[in-house]
Amino acid sequence: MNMNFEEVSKKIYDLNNIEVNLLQTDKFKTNTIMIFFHDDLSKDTASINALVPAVLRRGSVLHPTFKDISLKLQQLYGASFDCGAAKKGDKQIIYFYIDYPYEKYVNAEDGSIYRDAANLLINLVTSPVLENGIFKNDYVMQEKDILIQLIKSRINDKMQYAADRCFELLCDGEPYSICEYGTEESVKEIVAQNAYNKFREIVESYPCSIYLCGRYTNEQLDAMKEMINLFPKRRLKLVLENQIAKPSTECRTINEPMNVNQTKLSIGYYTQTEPSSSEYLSLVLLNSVFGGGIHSKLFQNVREKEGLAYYAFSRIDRFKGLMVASCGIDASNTQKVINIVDKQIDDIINGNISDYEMEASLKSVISSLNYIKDSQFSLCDYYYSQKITGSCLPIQEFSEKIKNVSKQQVSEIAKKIKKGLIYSITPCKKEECQ
Amino acid sequence: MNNYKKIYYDNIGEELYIFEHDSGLKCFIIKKPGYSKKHAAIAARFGSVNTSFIDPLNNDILDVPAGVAHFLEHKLFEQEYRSVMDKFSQLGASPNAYTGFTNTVYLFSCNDNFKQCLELLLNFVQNPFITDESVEKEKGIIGQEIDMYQDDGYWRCYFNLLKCLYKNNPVSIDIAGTKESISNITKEVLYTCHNTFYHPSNMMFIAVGDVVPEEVFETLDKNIVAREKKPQIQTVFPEKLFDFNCRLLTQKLSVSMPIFMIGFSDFSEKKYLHEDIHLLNREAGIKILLEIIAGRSSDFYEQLYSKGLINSSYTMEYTCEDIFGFSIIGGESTNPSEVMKMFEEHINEVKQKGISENEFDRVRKALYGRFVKQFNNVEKISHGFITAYFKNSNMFNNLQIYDTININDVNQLLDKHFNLDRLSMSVVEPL
Repeated sequence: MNMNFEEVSKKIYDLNNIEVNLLQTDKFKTNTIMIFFHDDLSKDTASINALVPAVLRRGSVLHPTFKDISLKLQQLYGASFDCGAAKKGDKQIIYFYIDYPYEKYVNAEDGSIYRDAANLLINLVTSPVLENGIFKNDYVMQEKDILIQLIKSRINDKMQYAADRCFELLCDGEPYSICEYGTEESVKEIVAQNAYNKFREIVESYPCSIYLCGRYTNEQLDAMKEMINLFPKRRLKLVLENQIAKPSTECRTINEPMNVNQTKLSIGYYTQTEPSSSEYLSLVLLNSVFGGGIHSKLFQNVREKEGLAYYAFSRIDRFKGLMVASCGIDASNTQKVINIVDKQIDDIINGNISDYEMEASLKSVISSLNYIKDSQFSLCDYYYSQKITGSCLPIQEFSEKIKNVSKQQVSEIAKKIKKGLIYSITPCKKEECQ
Repeated sequence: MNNYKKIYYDNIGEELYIFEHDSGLKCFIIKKPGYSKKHAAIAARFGSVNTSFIDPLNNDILDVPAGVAHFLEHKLFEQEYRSVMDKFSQLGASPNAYTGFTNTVYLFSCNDNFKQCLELLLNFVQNPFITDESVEKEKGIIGQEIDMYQDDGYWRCYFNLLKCLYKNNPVSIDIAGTKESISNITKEVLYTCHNTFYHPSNMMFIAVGDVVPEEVFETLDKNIVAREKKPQIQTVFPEKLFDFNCRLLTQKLSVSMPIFMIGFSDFSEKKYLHEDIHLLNREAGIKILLEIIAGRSSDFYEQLYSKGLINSSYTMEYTCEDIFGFSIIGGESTNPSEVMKMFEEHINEVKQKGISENEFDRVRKALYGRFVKQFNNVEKISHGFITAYFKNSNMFNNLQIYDTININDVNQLLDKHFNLDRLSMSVVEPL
């Protein structure tokens, strides 16, 4: 068997201002189609941008209800479809995807699932079910309620919430401080008419990329051109460049009391490093040394040495040039843990990085990069994120380049980072809580 | 190395290699050409439900504290040379482990250095190095883990439901135990459990990835110390294992809106569930039914959603082992009691109407496709394989099961499993 595992994204055509990219690979059981739109993240439009895909998910002219869509997905041998809104830096992303088993593995006729799956997806994006020429009022009202629930439910996963909240507070007053679903108040203001208008604006003008990952024949790629004709004539909206966050003058401390057992501590940093710069490679390695896994200083010192936490890690938001250190601890140990975390950064600045830490950190980064190639979703997301940040490093090149980063460069980049916020969710008795 | 078997599953393009070590350890490899990630796992038939067993030394019944399997999982990661994790990191690999109801799994994923990682895995799992001091330190870390789960609305909701579904079944005991139960764990208890349950004949091994099977089997052969099989271990389970407990449990926690889980639990007149119907067939049948009854294509789902009673957090699942089985629907809801009421009415309707041939066939095909999709991901393959193995089966049997299961099988399960006398709900409400 002659198999293809190259897994590099190639732009194959640009049609009606939609860029179509192909990741041809034989190793998966499924084919995936992803459609991305993006817009500037802003407090005026975040909620309505997030609501539109939720309404589109409810039904198209071809498949007007949830039930119709699900029945069709079942007929396509358990294909899955979903859509939603996300944020990458100052940009709000609206995404749609479908994946379906490759015909051969489910004894279906060659190409039969592809045609129906692609059609289902593009119809859901471009031809919503309408009522009096606009979105169905019921659908809009129900999805508004659910969007408000989603906004409120962010606090349910406190580990995630503490890190996200820390990132947002580091960018107070900037678009990035807005959650990808906007605010409860702005959801409430939406009506069917303006949601429909926003839908038109999205399909007619938001920058759009399609990624096809899996096995595709030339005929199938041509067939996609025909399906793209279902989009209205598009004129591209101008979106702003992504900006990394600028440091505040001093480090703030914010506590949010909740009725919980465990303190979730998140310490936020401004890295002052552009995602498309060569220094970004050093930052990736710094994060790995600092808190990027079990080899890292945070895990080794906070958990293994002192037994103060079950989880302790750091992660970066490359789009905004931010980093956060997170751990779940007993409230009485908060200051002790802050001191340990500070010391790890000081150690890195002073070049106290062992050969073991350096090697393990590099290997961990390279493995993670290679693992992207094992998932269709991660592959599409990687290449789309590259596009958003204005870089175009294939995975292989990224891992070659990062091997050249020295200990010295990691210390240098650590000197540049600036602690901006100590955020924590702290336990309190019910009557003291908000 | 040539004493292994190879099975080619042509219809989905997968290869399975099988080898049995002298010690009784069963070893499996699923080859994934072109994958970067190489994965291996070794699992012991010892989980949170094994809290009482016959001591092999004197044939006495031995009771151990709740959470001991999970505690042992943590402790094996510490060796005389200190941390096993460091060694894996050095090799660029990420190790992990998880304790389930009936088994404990140790695993790693790596890109390079597969052989060294494998040697390391086999070595640390066979050689506990536990001191009184390190047991005490671990109580702090696991204490934090327990606290973390105490705050987790979904986790609490899940275990509260299990408490409703079964009265005497050890499945409802938290996997990590409680701060109190783990305070009774000692070095001696941990060694006893290791000696009892971590013999290779009570374990299995699986590797998934772009590896050379001969080399992997050779490494296994050299690194498994025991050379003789040992008789099966007897776990002692309480009487009346399948007795139902109660209809409702509610707890208040810091969550934004109520979280609910509604479940049915399996029951058998026999000692074990597999004596009624093989666990994999049971699982396939009930999954098909759940999808028809409460999946996204059902009228029930559409009604709940359009009334605003559920949102995108809604999920369904079915889990079974020899001593328990339960189906769950759940998520966030503004009004869980209304969901429960509608669910009961809907179950009655479905039971009256029965399942149509048409919907059965459509859903059967969809679940076949979803099963195939699982083979995209090395961890999912490994997890699926281990789960099926501990049900005394081979994951690939699902291909045949989904192909040959018929509507009569499913209608029988409809009556048996979806029994309204064994329906419970657990709710976690905001403070």
